[in-house]
Amino acid sequence: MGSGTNIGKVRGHGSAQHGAHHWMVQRVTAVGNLALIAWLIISLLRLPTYEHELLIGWLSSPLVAVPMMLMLVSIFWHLRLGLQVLIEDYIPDHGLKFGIIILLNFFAIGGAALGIFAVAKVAFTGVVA
Amino acid sequence: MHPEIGHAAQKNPAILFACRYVFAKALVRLQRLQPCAGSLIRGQKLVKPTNRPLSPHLGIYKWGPAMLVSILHRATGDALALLGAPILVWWLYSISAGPESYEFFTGIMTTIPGFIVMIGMTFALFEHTYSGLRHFVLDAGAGYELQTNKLWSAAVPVLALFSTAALWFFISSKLIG
Ligand code: HEM
Repeated sequence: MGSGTNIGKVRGHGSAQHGAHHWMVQRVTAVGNLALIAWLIISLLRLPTYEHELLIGWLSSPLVAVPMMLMLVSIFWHLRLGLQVLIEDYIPDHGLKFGIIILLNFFAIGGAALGIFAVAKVAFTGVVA
Repeated sequence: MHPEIGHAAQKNPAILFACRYVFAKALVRLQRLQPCAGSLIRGQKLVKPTNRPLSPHLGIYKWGPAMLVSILHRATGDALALLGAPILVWWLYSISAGPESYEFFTGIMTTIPGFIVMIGMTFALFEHTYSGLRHFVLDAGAGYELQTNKLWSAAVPVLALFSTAALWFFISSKLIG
């Protein structure tokens, strides 16, 4: 297209060859979310009450702590990809877009890390019951 | 115009015609180079005509269930990401930080605004999940027939509302009963 400089000819024409992978991982993590969130809802509904002591006992079981950590990874990975698309669609300015994607990475990795650490802390130190 | 060409043109109408043609073409090119929607992006130099097609804006589309579900998929995904996921982490954090911290969390989440947020997040989750399942079907290349597409698009928010109501009915009957 066009008869400009070489950079001018390619700028703005899209594919950086990452799209298919992004699309696929969005779906892989969507399936992860589906299974793990369904597990969480069912597991929570089966609890008799939601007192702190009881939740500590529940969360310190490996069969709860491990899926909970996996769910955090799946959710935060999925939302990291999803919000990236949102940012790319609505923020045209390259500099601002770059900055916000950095913030998004901090949010996604930080959020997952905090959640996983909280679960690990309960799992390793918690047993009240 | 170059004097020589002008001179020749006076003698030869064909050359005059050719010159006019070239100028007209150049003028059109120049007009295309005027800044338009795509060229206003800061930090990008305009180096080529930006008369590539733009998609029409929202206003011209006729509303239908498929459009609603598509918009809701994005809106609910973003709401879950920006509000739901932080609340999930706060919940886990508050459990790990001890009984007072957990009570602070449940205290806030059981106020009226807290319930509105929790019920809203429940609806967002069901809406996004069912609409995500619809994505999988469409990804597989199925469900594009107009009537089928309309049916499942309309079914998604209805099922989501129904699921939200059913879940909260279950929770309230459990907490009260
Ligand atoms: C807490 C759970 C979830 C969060 C926070 C979340 C968040 C998001 C976000 C922010 C997007 C980007 C939307 C956009 O701007 O286009 C997205 C896309 C998507 N989500 Fe989720 N999601 C969650 C659960 C799920 C589940 C359970 C499914 C599947 C059943 C799912 C399927 C999808 C699909 C297929 C897309 C891609 C849509 C596209 O390519 O246009 N998500 N999600």
